[in-house]
Amino acid sequence: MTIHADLLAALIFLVFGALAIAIGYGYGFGTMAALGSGAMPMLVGAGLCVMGVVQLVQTRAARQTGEQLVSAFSRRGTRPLLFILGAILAFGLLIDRLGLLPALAALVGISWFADAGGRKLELLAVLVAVATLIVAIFYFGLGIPFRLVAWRF
Amino acid sequence: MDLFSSLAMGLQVAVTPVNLLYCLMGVTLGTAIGVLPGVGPIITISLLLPLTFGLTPEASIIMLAGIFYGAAYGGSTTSILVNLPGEASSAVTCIDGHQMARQGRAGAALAVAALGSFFAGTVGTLMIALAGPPLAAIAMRFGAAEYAALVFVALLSTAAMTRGGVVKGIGVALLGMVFGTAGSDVSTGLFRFTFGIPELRDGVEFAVLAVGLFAVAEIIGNIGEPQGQAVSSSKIGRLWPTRDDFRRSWPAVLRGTGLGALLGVLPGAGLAMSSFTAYMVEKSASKEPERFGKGAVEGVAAPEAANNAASQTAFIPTLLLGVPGSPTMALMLGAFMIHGVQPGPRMMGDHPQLFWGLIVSMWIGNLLLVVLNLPLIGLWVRLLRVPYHWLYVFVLAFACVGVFTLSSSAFDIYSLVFFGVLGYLLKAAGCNPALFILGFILGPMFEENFRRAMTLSRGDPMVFLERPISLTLVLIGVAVLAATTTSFVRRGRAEATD
Repeated sequence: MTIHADLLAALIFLVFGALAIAIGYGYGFGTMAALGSGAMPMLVGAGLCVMGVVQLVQTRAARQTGEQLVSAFSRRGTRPLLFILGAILAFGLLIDRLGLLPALAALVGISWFADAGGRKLELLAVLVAVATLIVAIFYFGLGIPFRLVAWRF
Repeated sequence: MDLFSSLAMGLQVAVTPVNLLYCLMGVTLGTAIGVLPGVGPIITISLLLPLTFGLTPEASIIMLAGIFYGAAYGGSTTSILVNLPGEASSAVTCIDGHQMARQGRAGAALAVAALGSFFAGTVGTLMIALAGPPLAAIAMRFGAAEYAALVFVALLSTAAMTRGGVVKGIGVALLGMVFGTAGSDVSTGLFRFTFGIPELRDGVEFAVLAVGLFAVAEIIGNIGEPQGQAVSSSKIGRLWPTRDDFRRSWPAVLRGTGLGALLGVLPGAGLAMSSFTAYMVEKSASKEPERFGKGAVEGVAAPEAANNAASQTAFIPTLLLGVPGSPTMALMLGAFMIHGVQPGPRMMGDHPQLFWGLIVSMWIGNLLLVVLNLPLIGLWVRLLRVPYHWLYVFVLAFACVGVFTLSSSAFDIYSLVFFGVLGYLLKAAGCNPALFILGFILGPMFEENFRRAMTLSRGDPMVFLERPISLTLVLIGVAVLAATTTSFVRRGRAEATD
């Protein structure tokens, strides 16, 4: 079964709706005159579930009329997703331990390969340009006390 | 205090060198991103949110507002010159604007767009100033039930009007509301959805959420998409419009301004809708509709005036009621709240400097746009040649460093990954992540007022239907929902987004 856009939307709504109801239940609904902390999460969660079900029904109807359904995820989209998220994660892991410049280098170095088009020599130029601009804007311009290079493991 | 002394006070705030500088920065940045395809005002405002913590509220709001209306302006330049709308709101300008450019009259088209926008911006600004005091006086009488109903209508109609369908629209807005409830509950102090993580006790950080949903998810989605190659061969030509252009365009500008100013106030209508409607009205009002599509100057003047007027009057519900009518306005509202300013009927009384300073600075910003843009057109067009794989790396670096400066904690960076994934999934599901922001901002307002109204009515939900203002609002919401299911609005929306 291909997961197409409408089905994905229904799944997102149902999952988060169910979570909101389940966790909200633990916070207590309260009474109508004194709604508790859990009331809004439960009400909104119920709304989400309703939307999820309606979306499912619509999807089913569309399928029966023989509409062509395209998968929500394209193979082409996987590469940017992994590289961009990996780059951010690397930045988060390195910023405290090695400082701003190494973290930026990792960010730029990894995210560069999200797009298949770039060349290696260009990467060096982008790295220098980004590091210069970021240090100029944040470190000198806004005076935020970053450790540019650190060593803390 | 009368209007003129208020405006005079606003002028004093707006013309301080610092605020002028930030206004200039805002409109310049706004124009630049209006030109660049793939980077819109929502992304830029969310990227700059972390940076505005250090500024005064006046300076940061003035700059962010400048980005917003500057982008509405910059998009028209590329529409006319290279047939590439930087923003959805200027897509319709392409039709006649680019035809004019091909006939060697790009200069006239750009000048008409600039002057029309300036006129519309002035009218829009004046409307905020005029509508402010009476509207705030009405809103002051709103009780909890009315506020809850108002938020409900704003959410429902925005969700219903957005591309992608009513079910998805409402669903995403509700999803945003769930995330809005995270953090300590204002009424009971209970920590909700914190999962034992101390960083979540104050709720989800708004700036992180915005950057993740927009900047990160947009980059992921845009890479690999074939980028339109912009080749501008047309000469700009004579800048000053002919007498005939003036004669034809001034009524179009007037109509466009009026229409845009009205549509801008409505929640969910937005800039794209206003410029599209203005174009259609102009075409059907014209005695020679066959000229449209072949370089009719009215076809440039009306939509440009309309989207600029709408971008000003969109501030009316945001500033005066505290209820943003569009996702970009929700971001602006978030920016106010970062500085501890709650927009709403009390804002004019509590923060007169900020309110009137912003209004006057919007007019100054519109003036700056005319002065700056016409001579600098060549520079803006050159921006189109920046390759996307340079742009996204810089945007990503800016996003990460900006988010890290919020609290110098790596947790914010990891949250960025989470919201990046969420944004990516929402986009893949055909949901508009911008509505998520609206739900996130409006959710807590709705909860607070809803719970208070229920307590005051001793648990009787009929309170929302018994009070006249609240009843009217609820009925409007239902009517909007019903209207969006009819074919007319659907068709109009489909054409507006194509």
